[in-house]
Amino acid sequence: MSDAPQEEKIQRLLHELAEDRQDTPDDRPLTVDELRYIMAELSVLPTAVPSEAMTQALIENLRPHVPEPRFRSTMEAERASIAGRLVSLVAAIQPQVSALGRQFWLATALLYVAVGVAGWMYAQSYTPYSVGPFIMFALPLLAVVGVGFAFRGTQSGYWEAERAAPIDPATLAIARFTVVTAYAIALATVITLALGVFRLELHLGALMLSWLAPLLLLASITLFLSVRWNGMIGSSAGFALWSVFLIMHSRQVRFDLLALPGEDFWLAGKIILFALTVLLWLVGVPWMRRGLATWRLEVG
Amino acid sequence: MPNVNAWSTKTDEELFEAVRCGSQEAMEALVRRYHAELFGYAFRLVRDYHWAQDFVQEAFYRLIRNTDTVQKPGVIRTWLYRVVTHLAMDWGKSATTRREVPSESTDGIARRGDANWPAEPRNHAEIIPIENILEQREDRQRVAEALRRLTEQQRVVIYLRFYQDLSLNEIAEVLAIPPGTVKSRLHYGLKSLHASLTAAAGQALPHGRTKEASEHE
Repeated sequence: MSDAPQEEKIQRLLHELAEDRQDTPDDRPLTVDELRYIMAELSVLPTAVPSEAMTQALIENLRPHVPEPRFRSTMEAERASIAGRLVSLVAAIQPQVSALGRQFWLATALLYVAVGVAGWMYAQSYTPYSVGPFIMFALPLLAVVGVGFAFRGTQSGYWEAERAAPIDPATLAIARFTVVTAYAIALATVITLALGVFRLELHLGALMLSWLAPLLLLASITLFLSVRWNGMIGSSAGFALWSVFLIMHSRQVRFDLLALPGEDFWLAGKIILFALTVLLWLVGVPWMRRGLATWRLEVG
Repeated sequence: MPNVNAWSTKTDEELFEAVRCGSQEAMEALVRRYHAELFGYAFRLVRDYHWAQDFVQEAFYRLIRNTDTVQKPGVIRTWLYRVVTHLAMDWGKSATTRREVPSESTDGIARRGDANWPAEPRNHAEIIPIENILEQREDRQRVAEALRRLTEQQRVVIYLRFYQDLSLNEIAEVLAIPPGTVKSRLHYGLKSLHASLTAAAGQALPHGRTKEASEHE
């Protein structure tokens, strides 16, 4: 016990053992001198040290049993950069198209066609000008329905299995949202252009902006609430918020976020809606990841 | 092994996560970090180099194959100790497989040059008089005998506390017992050990007196 590190270790252990011996349920605790004596005696036994050859042999024996590199690790490495995150997101989008199924895409398209036909009939019954507000109010709701439907299975076995897959679940959710929302925007654009033949007397670009801003906000809210809880809650929240916006519009409040092109607060309303969407994503993505990460920790 | 140095700065959890994702370098760094101390501990428990190496290997094997079993962060080291402890205790209980090896084989004098044998624990270039070697051997036998007189539970706690430098809470995690029980086992173990050592030394030292102090006199 001549070397300094060993003596230092003994001193430290002595101190700790002296603390340890407090509160012991015994007649008489050991004195520090007795502890020192025991430790000095214990230190005469050498410690067996494995040779470098043994360590290397152990490593080689274990090497075949290390799990194969998995897709998750590849994705996590790639996601280290923003460009990598985008690449992994794009990679995750394609499987979502087939995961949602042909029926989903077909039914969504039919729904938009039905709204388009209803808009055409509405224009026939009333004035062509009224088609603009009609599609502006209807299209964001369709997006809420689509996103809510795409995330309807958050409590089902399918969703559980998907979250256990070796792919980052948040990336999966964002990829699915991207594909569903992009599809909704594409169909909404087609409907808008198709109904544009009725001489809407509204600038098409302005009209598209009018439904795009609330659509993105409502769809985003539906996404985050669906992922953290379930699709029903997400969709309900989307509908509820949309109802609030409509009530504000019908009562012609000063800060009408759904103001039509040409009305007061039109541009400001759209800017506010886009800003709210950006803010929601800044807060919502970490919130969503935290919820998914907790689950992942539980399964190891 | 060009990347092992970079890996050696990572935390246990980072290494473990990397191993889960298939990193050979992380596995190597983890083994290099804990092989020596686990082997030393396993050897104290079973006093057999081959079994000690087998148990350490089994602990690492279980760690990298059953990665889902390690769920709490910050427990890799104690988890490995726990596996080694259980394996050694089970081995000790199995009369059919047990092979008694005298603790004096720790001198490492035999089997030098065997690549599968541990490195010598001391510097062999040093010239040690034969009487010192004999005296040292007697001391070791005395301590080893005193340790053998303890219960297995007390012995394990003393090994973990003194030789492996684990805290009471870590020992509690390794043995899956409350910290109070660890403290109790440690206390009674040390008292028994003190009694055995002083008796073996033929020095009925009064409490508070040390062997060194009496030798001075």
